Amino acid sequence: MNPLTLTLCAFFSRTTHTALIALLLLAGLWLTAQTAHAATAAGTMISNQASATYTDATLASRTATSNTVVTVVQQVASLTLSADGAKSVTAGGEVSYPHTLTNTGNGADSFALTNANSGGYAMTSVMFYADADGDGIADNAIPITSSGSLAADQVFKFVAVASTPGTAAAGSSNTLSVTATSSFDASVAASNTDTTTVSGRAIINVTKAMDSVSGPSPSGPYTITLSYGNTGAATAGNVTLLDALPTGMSYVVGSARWSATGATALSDADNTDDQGGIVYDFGVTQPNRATAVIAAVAAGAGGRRRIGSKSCKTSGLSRALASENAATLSANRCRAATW
Amino acid sequence: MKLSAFAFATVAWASTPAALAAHAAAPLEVKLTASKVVTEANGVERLLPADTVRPGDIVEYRAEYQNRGTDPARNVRATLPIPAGGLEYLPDGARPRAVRASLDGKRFDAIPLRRLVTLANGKQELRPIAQSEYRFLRWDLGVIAPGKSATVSSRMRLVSESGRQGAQP
Repeated sequence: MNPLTLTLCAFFSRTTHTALIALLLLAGLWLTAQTAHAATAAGTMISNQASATYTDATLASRTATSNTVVTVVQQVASLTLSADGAKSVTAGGEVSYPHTLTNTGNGADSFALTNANSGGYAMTSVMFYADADGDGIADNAIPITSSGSLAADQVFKFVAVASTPGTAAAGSSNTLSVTATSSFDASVAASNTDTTTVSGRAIINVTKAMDSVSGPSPSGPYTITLSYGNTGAATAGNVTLLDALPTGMSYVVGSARWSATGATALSDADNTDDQGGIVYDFGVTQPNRATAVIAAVAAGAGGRRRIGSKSCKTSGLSRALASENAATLSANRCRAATW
Repeated sequence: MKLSAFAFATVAWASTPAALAAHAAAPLEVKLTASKVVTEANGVERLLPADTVRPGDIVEYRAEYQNRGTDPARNVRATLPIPAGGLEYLPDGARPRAVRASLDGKRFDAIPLRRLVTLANGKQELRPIAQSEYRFLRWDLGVIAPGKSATVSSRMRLVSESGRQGAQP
């Protein structure tokens, strides 16, 4: 089943030109600093030669130089893996944990991905998938067991997707250990722990996507899609989606659509009117923020969430925007008393 | 086969008059060696060959200046580069300790090196220069008499990931 979505459009406005450039500049400076201090690349030859000046018996100035000593830099494996995760799931449901692996060694390396899980129940399956755009959702349905070759300092994003058994008792939890091991030096590995707790309640998941991840200023409009679903066992009521536009983007009036009501435009100006199960406003409840309160999200609405077949090229700017432009979600007065 | 070829080459070199003349005119011989400094669990240091090094390793360069001539060499000023692109000077890594350092190999000053920095309020102040920028060391060794030698050494570290962390603002 497809997730329900809420979309709105926005422009990069000219006023933010300076801010965006500042962001880019900061990113550039940071990168420069990082490069300057990175571990010396494997295979680098370091040569050195000592010398001296002196005066001889005739008071003539002379120079003497030594032999040249050459030292070769060897490869060292090193990695970082982040981050630990914790999620709730309904028995029989699926959880996806995003992880970021960075090759902090001084040469190309690939990293084997393995897992082990234990606890109140065992996962029925655990698979890894690439997640190049870092949205926490598998890029495709091709399972992987390795990061593939990563250059020094290269980052690899992936998700661990685990299926819980239908028999798992509510309240029980599972500890999934995700390990990446260097193929250059098998003694070098890093692990994260993902904790999955079975819940009998409503479980709302939300993801946010933008149809472009970078653009000049001004440009647009761009469409922002918030996809949400209830993978829990009970209906959630008054699910509130909040999405503040970041500085530098301006809202396109009348551009909001809700997948449950199709092509009908949502009105922006009233934060009390029920528009067929959704109360939506932009800038009324809080300036420069979209606020949507959805009356009810039934259990099972949503399911596996995938956003199109988008393949985005990420840039420093887009990453900065993506982190700044994060949607928040809250639910209150749940119909399931045990929210 | 290899051995005989080498022997032939040596003889050929030694019998070249120009080479002999050059030898006689430059009595001060400089021999440079590099060692990897490894500290064992019991705290004892060992010097290992430094043909290969890994990030984080400490390398000790040792230059021996030997006077093979018949006259003293005076005003001996020994220069040891700190190779760019990975190695950085370790604080108090030089022996003898009386050493000066340079960024460009021309101007040498006492350690720590300082540079004039213009502050946000427009004032200028001398601030220490990061040791990772030091590129040359120099010792004033004075006179080395015939048949005598003097040795200088310095320890340097190959920049590693942890070095990068420390350098982050």
